[in-house]
Amino acid sequence: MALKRELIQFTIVNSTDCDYNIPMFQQNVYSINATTKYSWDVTTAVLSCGTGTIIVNSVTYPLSYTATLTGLISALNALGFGFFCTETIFGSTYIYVVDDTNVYGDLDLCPSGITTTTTTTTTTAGTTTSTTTSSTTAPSTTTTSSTTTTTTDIPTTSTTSTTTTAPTTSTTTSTTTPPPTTTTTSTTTSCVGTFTLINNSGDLDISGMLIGGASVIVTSGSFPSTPATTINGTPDTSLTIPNVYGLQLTSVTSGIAGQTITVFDSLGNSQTQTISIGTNNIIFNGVDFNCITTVQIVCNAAGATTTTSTTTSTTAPPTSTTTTTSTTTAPETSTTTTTSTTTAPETSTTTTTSTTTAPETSTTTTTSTTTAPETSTTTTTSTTTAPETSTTTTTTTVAPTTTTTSTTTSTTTLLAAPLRVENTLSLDISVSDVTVNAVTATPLTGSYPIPAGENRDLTTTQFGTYSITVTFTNTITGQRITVTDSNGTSQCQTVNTSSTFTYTNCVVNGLTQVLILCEDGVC
Amino acid sequence: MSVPITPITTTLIAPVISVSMPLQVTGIGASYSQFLQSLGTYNYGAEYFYIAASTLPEIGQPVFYNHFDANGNSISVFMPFAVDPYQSRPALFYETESDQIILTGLSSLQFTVYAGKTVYFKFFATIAYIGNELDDRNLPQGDNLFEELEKAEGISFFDDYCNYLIDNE
Repeated sequence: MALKRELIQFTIVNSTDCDYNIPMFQQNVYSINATTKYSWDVTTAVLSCGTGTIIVNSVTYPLSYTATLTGLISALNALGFGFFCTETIFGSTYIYVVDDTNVYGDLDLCPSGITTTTTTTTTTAGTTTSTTTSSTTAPSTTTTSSTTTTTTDIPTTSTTSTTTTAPTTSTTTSTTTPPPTTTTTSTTTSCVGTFTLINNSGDLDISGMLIGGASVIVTSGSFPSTPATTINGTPDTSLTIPNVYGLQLTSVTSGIAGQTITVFDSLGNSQTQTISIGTNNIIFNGVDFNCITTVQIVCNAAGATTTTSTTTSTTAPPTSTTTTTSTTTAPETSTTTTTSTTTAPETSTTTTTSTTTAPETSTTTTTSTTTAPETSTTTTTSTTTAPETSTTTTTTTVAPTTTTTSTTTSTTTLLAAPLRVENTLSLDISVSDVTVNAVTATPLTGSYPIPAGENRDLTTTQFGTYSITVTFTNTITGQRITVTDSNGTSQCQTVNTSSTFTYTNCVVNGLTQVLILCEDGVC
Repeated sequence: MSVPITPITTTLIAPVISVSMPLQVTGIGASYSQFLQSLGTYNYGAEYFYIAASTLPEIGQPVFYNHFDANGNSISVFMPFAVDPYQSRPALFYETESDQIILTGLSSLQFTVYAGKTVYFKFFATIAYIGNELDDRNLPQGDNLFEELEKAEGISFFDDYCNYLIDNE
């Protein structure tokens, strides 16, 4: 071991538009002194959903960010690859990274189709029983009337009227219904990092493993690790993932020199240590654990070649299952009982008219009217609603992100002259107009009319299935005009006198020329 | 519906984040990448840090020393830099023992370099490396490595080598 003392100096230049929290003197800081620049145009990108993916080294990494450009940059930098920044060039906004080591692919923001949402709604309708009993008792009326009228002279009238009204009873019983009870339980389960310990050595025994100083949780296999065995597990659940932890293999016993152990962490970085003979604790510093890629610990035989390619186990995004259970229980019993008892007054009217007149006449009239009470009883009984239970379970599962980009560029060149009039075979037909969909097709050269002995190409903007009309003049009968459309379908009409022929359902597609052929002879 | 954005790849003439040795009288020193590559073979125990920029706010933010403890867990330690008043430009310094801040490639000195800014960084380091000088007489026996080798192998290849040279002149 030798020592020397030196002055070491550097000039650090940040030419970007972003502040850079630079980890000086750390290896694998990819953007320092790099010149390979990857730029994504995000001018029109929608960031509102706060999720996305980016492909780095052919692996798709999920992104979760605050729905702003700054939040997206932070999420990209948190991946641990190059240093991301933004820039504006000619009004367009770009995200870029400069990195000579990693290879970057598509950036997909707010991707659709990667989220499967299954909503199961179960609603159990309550049982409603309603019984209404209405009982009306008609009044029993007894009327007794007796009238005696005696006309006398100069009557003196004294009237006493007594009315007795029976009490009216009204009873109302009301039960207030409590509001529905809603219980919402939301459970979010985050993922944990995983590791796999593959023992391909000839003679390495490992009695245990610590990650971040805590014992690991073994999910398959068991310690001690022996040759030709594999152990899978996760870090202790008290650890925060993603993070960087030390990984210690305890009591690694080797009887053969030259055996090695290689650790591939979640970012694909590898560390290899050669295991000396004897029993030792082996520590790997700075092992990155994340929720995506399994950390691999591979024990190699002496002289074995260590695989430097990172065999990341999956590209599946973190499994995040959110279960929301909402239970709405309607009030178990809602009972409204209204008892209304209306007892009509028992009316007893006694009218006593006492007329005292002249002495010779004394008339007493007694009218007694007794009305039996009108009893109206309305009983509304038992409206019982069984509890209405509404349970909504929403499970959102983020499926493995697979981004397939297929770009097909198809360029179709339309004919300059979708139609053509050939008039060299007619005797004297002169075509004065051709229309497609009632729009005149324009001759590319010359103009109408197209006399016998000439051909002329026509152009139109009417593509589709339309009627074609041909207006012509002639003097000689027994000629014909045939229209063959883009599908090769021909229609022929015989020419007698000057006229306009209409050919229906002609396909004009601009790819195959429509031929209007004027010939001698009938169809 | 979103459409994946395919990156445009270009090669820059100069890096946008550059760390380089400043020009020296004797020429350009070792590059930053060479320095990083030397880590592991050479371990740098830093004794004195110096950081400077054109304005004080550019270097006024906290500096952290990130390293790993014996169990391999990541540890971040704040380094309280002090203002160096005897400089023509704003500068900070931090003095420590050479066994406190050790740069191994896994450890780092982390601070923010503002957008569009330049920071000058120096440190004195005691460099420990695996090796020895051939004629080093500091071995316990007081011999150099050649003599140790001859003793170990039971030979005396260099004995009377000087007389041999004289005799044959």
